[in-house]
Amino acid sequence: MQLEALNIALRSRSPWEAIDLGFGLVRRHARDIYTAWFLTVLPLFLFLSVALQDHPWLVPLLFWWCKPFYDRVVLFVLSRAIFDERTTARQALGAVPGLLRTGLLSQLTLLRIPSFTRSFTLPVWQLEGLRGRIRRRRQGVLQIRARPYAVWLTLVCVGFEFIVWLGLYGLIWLLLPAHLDFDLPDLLFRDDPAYWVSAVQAGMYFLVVSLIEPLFVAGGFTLYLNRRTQLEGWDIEIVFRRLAQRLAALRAQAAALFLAPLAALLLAALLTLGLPAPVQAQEGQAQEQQAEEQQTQELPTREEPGEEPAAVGETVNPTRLSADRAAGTIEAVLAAKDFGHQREVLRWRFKPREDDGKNTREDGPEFGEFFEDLAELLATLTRASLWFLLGLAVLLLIVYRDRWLGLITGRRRRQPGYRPPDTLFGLDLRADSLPEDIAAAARALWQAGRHREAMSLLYRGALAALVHREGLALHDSHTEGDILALARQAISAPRHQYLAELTGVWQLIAYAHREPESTQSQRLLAQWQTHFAGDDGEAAA
Amino acid sequence: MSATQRFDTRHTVETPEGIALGLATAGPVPRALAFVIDQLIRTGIYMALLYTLPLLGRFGVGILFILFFLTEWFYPVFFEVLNKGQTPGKAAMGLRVLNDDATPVNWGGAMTRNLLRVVDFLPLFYAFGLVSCLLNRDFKRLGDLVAGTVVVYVTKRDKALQLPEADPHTPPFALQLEEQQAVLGFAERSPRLTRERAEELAGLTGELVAGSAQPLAELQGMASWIAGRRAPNGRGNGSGNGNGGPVA
Repeated sequence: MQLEALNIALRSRSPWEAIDLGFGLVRRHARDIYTAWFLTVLPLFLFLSVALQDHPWLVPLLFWWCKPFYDRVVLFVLSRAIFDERTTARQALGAVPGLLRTGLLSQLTLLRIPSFTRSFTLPVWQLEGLRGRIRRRRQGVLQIRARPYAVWLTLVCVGFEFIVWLGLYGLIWLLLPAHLDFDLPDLLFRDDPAYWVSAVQAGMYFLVVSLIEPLFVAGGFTLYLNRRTQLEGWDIEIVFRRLAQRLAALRAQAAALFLAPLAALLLAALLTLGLPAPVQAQEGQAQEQQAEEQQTQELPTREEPGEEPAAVGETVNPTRLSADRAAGTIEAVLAAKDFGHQREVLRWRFKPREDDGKNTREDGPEFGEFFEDLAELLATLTRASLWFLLGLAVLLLIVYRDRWLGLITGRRRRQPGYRPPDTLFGLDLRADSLPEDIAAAARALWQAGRHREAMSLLYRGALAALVHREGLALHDSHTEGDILALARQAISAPRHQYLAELTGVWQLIAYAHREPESTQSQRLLAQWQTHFAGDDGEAAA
Repeated sequence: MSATQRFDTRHTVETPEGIALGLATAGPVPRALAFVIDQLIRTGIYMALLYTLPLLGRFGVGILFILFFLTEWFYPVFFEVLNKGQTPGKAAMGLRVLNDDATPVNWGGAMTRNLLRVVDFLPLFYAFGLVSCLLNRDFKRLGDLVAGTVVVYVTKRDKALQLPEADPHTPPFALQLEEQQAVLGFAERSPRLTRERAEELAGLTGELVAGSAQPLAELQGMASWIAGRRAPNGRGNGSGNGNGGPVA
């Protein structure tokens, strides 16, 4: 098997994560899986429905019984998908005869009922192609640690089937119009339900199986893959293969350099430092030589027996302390006053009461009454405190009304201490810097041929309106695009559209010096009044 | 040939400091089991309340209803905020709730995701939640989508390395980080691999063990060296000084 070609990340996962990976695979390859599914399983279902017309209750049962066959279809697609091979409709259909010969007969008869790990062991049948005693032994090895998880997967998938099945009923029940007067329980639980009711129920069961069975198979499959990854070290194999390639390339490179002695020295230097090669390779020649010298100095000390092992082969810091001296220093530090001083604490405590037992026995006869009084007292206290809490809650609601009212009305709350900026990208936004009638002033500018200023005035006016009247919290840091995005929530759609157009025109004329078409500019000039001029404008919008 | 292109359920969140955190999002199976455990615990609480509080008369019944309400709605919220994102069920399954950006979940997030259980519950028994879980890349139910939270596996602390006894031996090449990890992982797992497979894997390293008669022992020795063990005397090149591996 070509592990390198595998399209799923190989690492040693927890069994749960392995199952999740399978669920993710189904989502990723849903199209291929369901193509094959509806080409093979749906016809079978339809055939069963037609053939068993007289005994409709048998249809779901038999459909359930044939599940091992569907499992094989799903596994066929998945086993190709993990190698990035698509499965076309033709391939899926062509594979069916082969799938029938993967132990299907025994799994549909003798082994149908007592298998709680069906999806986990399926790859042994189908992909490894083992049979008989060898298969059982192989399954035994694989199941050693994974079996509980495979069983849980089966149980949870059964649960999921029930959930989806009940969910479908619930959905139908929720969506039934009330005036139809439809007695659902009566329809479902009558002794002899109408034929169409049985058919709908069987169809629902088909949908349920279609949703859950691929997940079940995929979860078992990835659990199996994970188990083999652990047993056979697949994740290690991939890295080792890459390592071998890299080293071979390294060796070839060194040979090609034809500078064998230098290369050998260099390698030796790298080794002693024990650091990743690329880092070393980038460093200068001088350092390499230094490292070589260091190594030649250190090597003799390694050979000497009885020498302190402090500097032996150490890669971190040649000047670091020996273990003994370090221990001495640490003890000295710990002995200092800052560490480990003691403190005496005096505190009042209740003495255990000696006459406790006697008292309760004396109270014995009145216990019931006392208990009732206590309950009454507690009830009064609790009632009082609950009313108090309610009052407090109302008070808090009033005090913090700003916060939650904003959530309801959708108007953006201004940050405390927010002050609208005087200018935005160089445009003065102060109210007194703008003329009284902006639209008229802009039109005058336009007619005087000062097109850029006219558009600038319109845009400035719109921004000023947003900041001062709409309460939009604009900052110096916002760009034209930011403002457009912010305004989307604050103003109505037609106004926003107008603003978008105006922004576009302004950007073109301001930054690209490109004049707008006169019809567009005339329209902008004409509509400004309705969209951004004072209270009238707002009312109109 | 980077591992990130391959399919995995783990996804990476980058912090503003440029640190990549790997989040292993948890799927519906362990989450369903965690839910079942929590539900059992809650049922236990209800039973206990039901058998004790009515003894206090009408006061007890009143308190009972209040406690029912609080347990039903705030049991997960309480634990998720105060117990590092873990309800008892999630803790048992090794799961934890986090915000999307890997920060701990706060009151707002926990409230949102748990109040929206009502929606996930529709039409019956969390069918919408299940379907949403299956369709989403991070296995989010609707409550998670709204609250911006995600359920992940708790990363277990690495246990101390359990390397087989081998004479420390300097690798003949400088190994990169990933390769060093692989060698360590191999040595740690080699006792559980079959002998033949372990030999085969060791042989796959090519140049690293080239010319060695016993690639497996050779590689275990390198792992020992990478783990920081050193021969007590001599260079310990794996030529059997008989003392077994010293522990640094």
